[in-house]
Amino acid sequence: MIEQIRNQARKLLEDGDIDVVIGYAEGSDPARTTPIFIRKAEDVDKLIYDPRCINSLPLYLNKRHEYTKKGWIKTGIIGKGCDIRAIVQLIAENQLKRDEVYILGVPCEGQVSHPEKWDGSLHDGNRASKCVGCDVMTPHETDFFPGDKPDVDRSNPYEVTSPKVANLMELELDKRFAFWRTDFDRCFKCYACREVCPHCSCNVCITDETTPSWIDPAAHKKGVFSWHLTRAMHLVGRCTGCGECTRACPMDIQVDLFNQRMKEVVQDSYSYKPGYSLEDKHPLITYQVDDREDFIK
Amino acid sequence: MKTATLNKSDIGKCIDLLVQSDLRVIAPRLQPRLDDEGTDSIEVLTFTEVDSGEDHQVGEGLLPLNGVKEFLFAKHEPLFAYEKRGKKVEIIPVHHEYPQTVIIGVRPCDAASIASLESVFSDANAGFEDPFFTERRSRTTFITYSCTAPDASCFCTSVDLAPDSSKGSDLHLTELGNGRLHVEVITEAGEAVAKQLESLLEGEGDQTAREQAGAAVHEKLTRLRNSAPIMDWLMDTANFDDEMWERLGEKCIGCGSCTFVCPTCHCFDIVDENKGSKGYRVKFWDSCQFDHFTLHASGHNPRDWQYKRYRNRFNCKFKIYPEKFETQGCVGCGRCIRACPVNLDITEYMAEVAHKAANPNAMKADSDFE
Amino acid sequence: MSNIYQPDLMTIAKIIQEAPGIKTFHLKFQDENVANNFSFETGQFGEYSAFGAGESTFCIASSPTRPDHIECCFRETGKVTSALANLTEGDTIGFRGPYGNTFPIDDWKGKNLMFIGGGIALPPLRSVIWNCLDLREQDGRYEHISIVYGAKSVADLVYKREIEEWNQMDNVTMVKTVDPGGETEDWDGHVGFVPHVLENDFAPSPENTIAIICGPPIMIKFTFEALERLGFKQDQMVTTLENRMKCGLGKCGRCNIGSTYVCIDGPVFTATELAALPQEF
Repeated sequence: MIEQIRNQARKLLEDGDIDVVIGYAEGSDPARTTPIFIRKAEDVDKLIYDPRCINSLPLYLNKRHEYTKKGWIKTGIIGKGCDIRAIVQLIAENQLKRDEVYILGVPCEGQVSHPEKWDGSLHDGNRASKCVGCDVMTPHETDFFPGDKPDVDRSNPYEVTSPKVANLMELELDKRFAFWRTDFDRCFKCYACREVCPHCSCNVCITDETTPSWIDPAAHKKGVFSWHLTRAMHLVGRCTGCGECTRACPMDIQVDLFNQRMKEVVQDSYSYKPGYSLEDKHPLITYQVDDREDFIK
Repeated sequence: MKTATLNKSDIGKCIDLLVQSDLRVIAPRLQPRLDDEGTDSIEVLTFTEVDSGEDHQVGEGLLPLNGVKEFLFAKHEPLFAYEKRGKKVEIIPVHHEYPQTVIIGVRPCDAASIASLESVFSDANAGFEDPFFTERRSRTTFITYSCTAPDASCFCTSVDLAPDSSKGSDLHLTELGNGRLHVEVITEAGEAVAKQLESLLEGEGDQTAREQAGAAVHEKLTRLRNSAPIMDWLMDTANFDDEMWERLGEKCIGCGSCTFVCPTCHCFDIVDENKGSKGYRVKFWDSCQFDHFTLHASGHNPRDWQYKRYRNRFNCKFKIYPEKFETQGCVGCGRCIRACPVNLDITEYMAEVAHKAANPNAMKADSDFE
Repeated sequence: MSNIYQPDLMTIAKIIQEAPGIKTFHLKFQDENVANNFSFETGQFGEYSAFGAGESTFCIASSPTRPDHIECCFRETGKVTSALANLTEGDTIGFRGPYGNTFPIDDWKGKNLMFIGGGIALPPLRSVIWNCLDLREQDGRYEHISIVYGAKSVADLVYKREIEEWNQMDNVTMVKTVDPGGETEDWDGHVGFVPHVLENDFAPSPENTIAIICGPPIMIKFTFEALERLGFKQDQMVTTLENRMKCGLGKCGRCNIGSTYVCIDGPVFTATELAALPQEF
């Protein structure tokens, strides 16, 4: 499978159809992979794909990460299903044009959640919870896919949710808040959760605004809560569930639980799952005649 | 040097004794988790304040995520309060009563970083003494614990440290392999703590066994790099524009994780936080990896690409710290490697520099940047 | 143990609108003890607080030879400078300093001095200009003094009255310029960018002369190159850098250029020293 991807990448680079392929390569440890930018056809053999490739690569298509400074006219990118949802969402939000990106889709059976759980293969003991019940294991939007694409039923309105969300929703409010107070005690506002997110693309993030200072940058309770809740709200209807924010958090705080819960809310209110359609617009910026109105008082 | 032996199983009792003598005790603990964590569940180990010796992880988990930096150089703290009244302003000092603290279970890499932070925050640096740091430092005693099981990301031996080093320690513990710990009293503060624990300490330790046990762990480190040529290579300003910086640093996303978990990173910011006409001036952690860190008001940014910001970090660890502050920059704890979401690896930079230093006239490495 | 982050309180004794968006503050310490014990040398800077908005870094724009009050001059650009610009005479600000190294004015005895600046970069030079003029008046220790200064337009020139004062002085050459398009009908100075006017219209001799330059990094670079073409050696050129700073005392790690912290190893550097640094400023 990866050989077909390499061949296609080689051909595209040789023909000059794309300027670069963003993919995965062996990392600095046997359990890790790393993003790689391949500009020359002879380097495509460095591309790999296996259950260690949990990184979401579309963040490099986000202008926050110097994408617009690179001078790439057309960018090739290896995408597993959840990554392609992020790319589709970027296109739907006009952050990217469809013809700027060449999607080399890969089939995925799941990813290992943490490098320390890698023991040579993917299995139920190390599969990331976002992968259990995933409906884009065969990706939905591609320019190239190795082999035939089987039909996939993507009609489930609800997305994969970690059992932790249900856990938390069962707790009483004060216990739920106590959980977050404990977890957020570790937060030091490094903003790794923001930097890995493919959708955080504001030229100046609200936390970096100083006139006025909307969110205190210091990591006291007010600064921490206001950041995470603002981030959750800014991603409502936009988060495509890659889970990178939690993976990137150096203090292992489960920040994406907010995003997962908000997805349920968006689905209930608008019957909308972001990242599946290039055309569908975000429900919070569009009006349909049959929109629910029962929450408007 | 005074030595003794302690049963490893008595560490919980040690913590109890220290708590009972009104000391604030910080120890590694596993964070509580929800009932059903799913397949993603991992254990989260952090240094946290404890009120008893139950459930501690001293000598168990490898390295708590947070290290000891936040207990000396606070994540955020008020510098003073102010109140504006018409044309006048009153500055109200903020009372910091920092309790006498013992941090137990500190690994040698974290302990070695204390001297580095001191070299920045004490008056050895340009004559200015940070009183907040000094108060915390002077009221904190470190009980350190030699490592027995370094992981693949540890590389302390590559930066002139060792998994059984007592640098930075007040009281140092090393496992002898039979459920017993060899105890070394390193400083006066360590002596004071040893006195608190004397009912649990026995006789004299076994220096030979301690040295053998410590040395045996050195072989377990697999991440080995030659750091000797790095500083000189960095001192040559021609290497500042070497192609390797962009080649290795292109994937960096500027998340800042590395700087926040690094025991010697010390950058901070200061802002005023208002509530009406009153407020606090607050100092809090910042990162040179953020894109606006060096942004001038004019819009000019000396470090305008991410790879340049990472270059500064590498310089800070391997040149600025040893050259300017004359202390260790990188302590080889490996936290930045574990934390980086895109597997940017400081030891890859080290290897690349060592290679270039050894082959100054070689053609540049096969690069994508033609 | 004193709190190195805590400022001293100062009253704004006078405000002068120098140019659109640019103000000068005359400041006096509120505490007499602090006022009596305060001293600084030319080239040093301070951290000025607008309480509630934060601190900003400006040089001390007045000369140590005139210690009745100190001065700063700033452009309204962001949060803190806007808050400062909204203050009125009699209001209180904070001051931490003096920080940094100083212009080595003793080394310049017996030499010609040429000061070159652009726009909002005149204030750091103004401190050392008056310092040298005052000392020369005392004991004639410096030879000829020239000042080359320009701004985008006539309205943007800072210290307008002092420019005229220097123009009238004996043994001072005042070369003033505005960028092309910035001149008014009655403008009697040059028209052209400062490095250009310096090299082509003024073309000073490097003989026994020290050049002191202040401006944005790009202007410093072009001016150094122009001076080198005129025959100046690197150790004849001195500048002061304005990196982004926060603590001002060597701890927050923001202003470094390689291993050099601009706040404690600078901000005054010779061209020789700058050339030895990694080029990231």
